[in-house]
Amino acid sequence: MTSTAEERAALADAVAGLLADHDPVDSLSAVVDGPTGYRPETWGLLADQGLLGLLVPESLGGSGGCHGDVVVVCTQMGGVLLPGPFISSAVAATSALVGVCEVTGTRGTAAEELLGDLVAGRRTAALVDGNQLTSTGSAEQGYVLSGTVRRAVGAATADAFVTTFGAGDEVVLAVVERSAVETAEVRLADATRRAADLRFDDLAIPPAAILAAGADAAAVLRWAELRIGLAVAADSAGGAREVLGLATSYAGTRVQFGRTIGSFQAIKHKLASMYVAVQSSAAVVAEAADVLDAQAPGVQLPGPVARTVTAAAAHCTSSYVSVAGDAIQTHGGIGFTWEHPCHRFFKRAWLNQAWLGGEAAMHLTVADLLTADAGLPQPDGAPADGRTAWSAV
Amino acid sequence: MTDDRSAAERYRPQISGWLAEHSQAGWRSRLQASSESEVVRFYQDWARQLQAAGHLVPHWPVSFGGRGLGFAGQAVAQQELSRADAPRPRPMAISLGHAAATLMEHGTEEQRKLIPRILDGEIFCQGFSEPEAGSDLASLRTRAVRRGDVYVVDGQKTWSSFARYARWCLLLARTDPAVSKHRGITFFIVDMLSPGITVRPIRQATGSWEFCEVFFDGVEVPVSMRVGGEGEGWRIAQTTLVTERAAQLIELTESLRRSLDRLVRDAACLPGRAPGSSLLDESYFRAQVGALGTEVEVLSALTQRSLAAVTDTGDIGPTSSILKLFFSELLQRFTRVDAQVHGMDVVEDLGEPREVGYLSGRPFIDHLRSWTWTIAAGTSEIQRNVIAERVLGLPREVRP
Repeated sequence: MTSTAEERAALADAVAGLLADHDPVDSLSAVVDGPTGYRPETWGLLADQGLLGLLVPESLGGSGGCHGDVVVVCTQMGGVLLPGPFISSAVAATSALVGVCEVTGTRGTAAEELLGDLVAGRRTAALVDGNQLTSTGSAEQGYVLSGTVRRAVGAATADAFVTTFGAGDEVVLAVVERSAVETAEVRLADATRRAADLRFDDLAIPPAAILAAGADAAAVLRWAELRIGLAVAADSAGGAREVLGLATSYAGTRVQFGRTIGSFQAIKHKLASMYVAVQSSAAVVAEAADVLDAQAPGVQLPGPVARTVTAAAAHCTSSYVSVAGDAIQTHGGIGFTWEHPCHRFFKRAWLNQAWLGGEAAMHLTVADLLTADAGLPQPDGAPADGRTAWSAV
Repeated sequence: MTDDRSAAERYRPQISGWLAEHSQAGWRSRLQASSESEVVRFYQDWARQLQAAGHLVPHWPVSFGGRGLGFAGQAVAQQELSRADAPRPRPMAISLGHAAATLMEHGTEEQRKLIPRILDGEIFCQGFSEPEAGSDLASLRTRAVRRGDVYVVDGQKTWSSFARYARWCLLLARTDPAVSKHRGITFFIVDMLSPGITVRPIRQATGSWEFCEVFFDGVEVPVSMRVGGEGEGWRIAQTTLVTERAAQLIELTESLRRSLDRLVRDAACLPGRAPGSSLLDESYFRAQVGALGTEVEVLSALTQRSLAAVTDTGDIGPTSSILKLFFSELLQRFTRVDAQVHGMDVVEDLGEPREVGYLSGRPFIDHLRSWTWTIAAGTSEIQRNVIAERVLGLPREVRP
């Protein structure tokens, strides 16, 4: 069931109110330099408001929101550059766990227990792409993993890792506790997100820690990936809107040559182009949410769904990168100072785009999906199942 | 809104079924072998056939000859026409769009008697731009002086598409030179058979003769053919112009989607660098296709959501500027990629184009013609001014 326009407006107001003291202009630098890089009190408020369980059905203890709600919430969070692992934990890891519960239908398992903790805000988790890890073993006896996962976003502060890895031709999804792996924090240019390198040193994955495998795991991951794409796209749309607002008000007050600089066409046209990028981002990410909301949970997602979501991800992240750069340009020297928030938007924009695999990879995925729809053969190396550019993040 | 959408969806099989039975296969090559007046007659005939079956203006109110399906119905009809690759009656774009909308919204009972004639294929042209009034349209100088029951019109209009074949002209003329420029303009409908009108075609960059100059020399226009009051012309032209322009984008978005599909299929048959490979295997080209595919998805989302908002509020405002900018610049990028893949094939002169759509399947001509979209009906620069001033609230341009 999807929310109405009125409900979404109310949700946006509620989230904006909750995040009101997270002004990127005033408060951000103190927060991101703290031990976790985000305010635990804020995380508690998000849990109290049911926002950490937004994507979790009520039957699994969540608030049963729709994808349209996720877009509303992430857009608001992107606007204030909210620090913390909302996307990596409350969207990525949470989606994977919900998918596991829905697909396998099991109750009282490791997945459900962790999910309960995530929704309540007791713990956080990250979804970790361990496709580069080497694995030995089997589903019956468990696996042994070794190798390193580089720069897993959200992993620096996560209490558990929902990890994907390959075993033969199959993909496997398992829970790994933080204490089981060696983590080394990697500082990101965007200080509002914390990443880590994870070293798996012949780590044993017992059968009880395996959440899903094979086609089930692939279907779960596909949903999780598209939801990550949607959330990052919405975060980008919100950030771009906010930084455009900063540039617009600066152009309306800054005076040079005896006129506000916003009266010069060179500035006006730049801001107008930024506005088109912002509006089109909002439109396509809302459309992507509608397309996902029209699908029954757990089903194999058809190609056009992935195409719309990937297009939203590609357009919103590229637009954010451009708009953030143009905002610096509009501000001139002041926009290039550490104290001014422009660089923080710029860095979030770049992280968002890189997190989803980069612009070229997203465009290539859209091309793969277009040519597959046209019934044309895929070139060597193109993923046969049209997986997302950012695969299992 | 939901009701509008479901009514439109119920209509979809009717038009798609009719189009399947009335296929116009091969119409592009037939047109290419025809004279320009034959081309215009072909479109007029096709419009009459569509109307007889109820598919020309399904979005119009029933009382005017439509099905009352609104924007949603128009979108469905355009999608199906596009899917069937059916001809679109472009020489009637002004008649069916701007002229009809103006008559319905602002016309008198007598003026509205022209609506059935529009449905019978009569062509309207637009007498707006002048040699000295392009982007600064409100500085137009064509005069209309009241003399008893008529206005006497003197002046020159330009960029008037299909004026040679037009029976009527939507004219903006100055009735009061004393007031500030927007306020002295009045809207008229002029019979193109009136004495004193001379039409001279202008050859376009593509080689075709679609635009015309129109000269008015003491032309008498009955007072009964004035739309709205004196001085209301600017407002009347604006309200209907933007709505119609936005509606046209439904069609163009669908055409773009189809053209992208065609480009992908073409590229699969063009050679790549490695023996036996196709252009589609080249990753630089694939990334370009993916970028265009991304933008087509965005345009589609933007158009649908903006027009849904128009259906709800009845007001399009600066949204039409955003849509026109996004579409026209995407069209230009798309046609450029499309033209570039065809190498020397594309630069061969195949004679002046007869087909007048924006995506005719002749990539070089389509690319060249894309400038009509970035220039006509408010250049991209004017659209950016509109967005910056009306949406972002930046200071207005100096207007002497």
